[in-house]
Amino acid sequence: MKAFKFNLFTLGLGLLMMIISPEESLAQRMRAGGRAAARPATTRQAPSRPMSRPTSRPQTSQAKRSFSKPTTRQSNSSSRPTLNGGSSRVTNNRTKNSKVSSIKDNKVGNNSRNNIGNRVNIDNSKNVNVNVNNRNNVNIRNNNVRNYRPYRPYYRPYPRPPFIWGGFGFSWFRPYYYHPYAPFYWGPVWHPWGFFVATLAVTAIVVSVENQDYNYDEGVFYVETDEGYVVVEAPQGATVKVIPKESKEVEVSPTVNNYYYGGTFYEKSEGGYTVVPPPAGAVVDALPEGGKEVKIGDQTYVKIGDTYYMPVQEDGKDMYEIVQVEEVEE
Amino acid sequence: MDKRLSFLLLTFFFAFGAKAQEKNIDTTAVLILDRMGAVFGDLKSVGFTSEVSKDVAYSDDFYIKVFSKSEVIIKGPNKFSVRHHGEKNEDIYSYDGSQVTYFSFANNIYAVADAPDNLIETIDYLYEDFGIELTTADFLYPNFSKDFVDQMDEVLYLGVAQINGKRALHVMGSNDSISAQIWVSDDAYFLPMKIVITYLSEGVAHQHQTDFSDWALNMDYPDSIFEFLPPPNARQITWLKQN
Repeated sequence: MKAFKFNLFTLGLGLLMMIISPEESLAQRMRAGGRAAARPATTRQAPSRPMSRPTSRPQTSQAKRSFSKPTTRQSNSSSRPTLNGGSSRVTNNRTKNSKVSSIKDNKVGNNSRNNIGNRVNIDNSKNVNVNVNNRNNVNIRNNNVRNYRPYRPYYRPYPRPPFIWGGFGFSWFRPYYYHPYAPFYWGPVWHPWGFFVATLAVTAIVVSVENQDYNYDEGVFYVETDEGYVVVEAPQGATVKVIPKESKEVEVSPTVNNYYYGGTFYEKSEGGYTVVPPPAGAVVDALPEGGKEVKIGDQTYVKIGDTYYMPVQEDGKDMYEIVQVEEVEE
Repeated sequence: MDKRLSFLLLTFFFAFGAKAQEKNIDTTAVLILDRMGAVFGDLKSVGFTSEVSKDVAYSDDFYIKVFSKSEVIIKGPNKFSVRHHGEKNEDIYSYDGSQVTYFSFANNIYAVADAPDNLIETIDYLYEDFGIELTTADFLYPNFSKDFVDQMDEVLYLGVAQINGKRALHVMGSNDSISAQIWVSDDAYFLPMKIVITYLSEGVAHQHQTDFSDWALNMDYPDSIFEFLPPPNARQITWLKQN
């Protein structure tokens, strides 16, 4: 008898639920959604829903809802337990390309770096998408010798202890001041590493360094190939009589100045100007193409070849300081 | 007989070893740390704000104070988002379960690295390979209290202290190279309120202090907030590993 009474009560409750307007029931569900963390929605809705929604209800409430929000019902049928079954997005959230390299790569000649400079084609009339490295096997990085240091150390000690990164100590003078890396072009006769030309200007001269002949013209060094000439990194120790008049003086120490043009440093010598490694601690205002920006710890550097340039500001002007990178014992 | 002898020897060895280390571990302190670790072990997600002040070497014998603030959201088992406000920069690090991305608001540059598939390994990976310490995240490790007790020669409970008007349980641990103090909230959750670490080994002693606030536990964070979409004109740069 008791059970019968209880069933009557349940039926009454069910009828009462049917009378409640759709808006109210929706509002209830929203609130339940808000408390989802405390009470999982499934345990709550499962018993009440099927009982309170018999066949008597359908048309009025559903028609009303599908009229006002036609898409809601479709997405609600999704299996995702979210507010609207998950949004359909316009933006493509593809996985981004991971771009990571290791500082330890410095020690080995990295082939991938040889392709720098080929993407930008300044002179379209002479060459179109020529991949010089694959066809002619020219190594545009010619300073990859054992124990080669990609810079000249500074003449006096740095005031701060070096920033240690993977067995290397990084030292610099000026405060880090980020500005975006925008490669500089030194006029129409200057070309970045890896650039290919079919012919050279008549003013080009031959310079020999360590049994390798280079063609030099207007601050650019070329190596001859079967089909023409490829721009390579300036070979250290090469001496040329003239450097472009656009070369800028760079202070290396109170008594020594270097000349900088197109990413190459020259020092005045008896026979003219000799190519030297970038001097640590010195600043330059422009970097050639072929570098890449690398995030090291909290700072972003421009790495060209094996030399690290740190963005700094001097007298309000964007500059790059050549960072001293020394192997340290850990 | 042999077995018994070896067991005896082993017991002596352990007793001797324990004596040689001269450890002083307070049980109340361990209880507090264990409770804190247990709460973190039960969490599905956590959000908090951390304010860090740390000594950074300026010259050989001079340290400067550097301040920063981070808003951290971590969702188990493999998502986080950390918005970092430095003195001169504002960055965001996000981890969506497969990749970690760094984005600099001031410079509009970003870096992407494939990451392990869980939080703890990813936090380790960021620290070991990229030198990024998102926050003082040690307490997130499942075996935090065990490691703490193992590594410290002395672990003490220093009593109740008041931090920002709230009761906090003051625990400290120290060994030859480091001393750490943790203030744990004296309420149901046992959350860290403040951590001060003093490094003694590298020349001049220097400190790293973190204050925690705005704890949000088991919030149901949507997955989409951990995804990174490069803003217009943002440039991707290379992330250089140190290993």
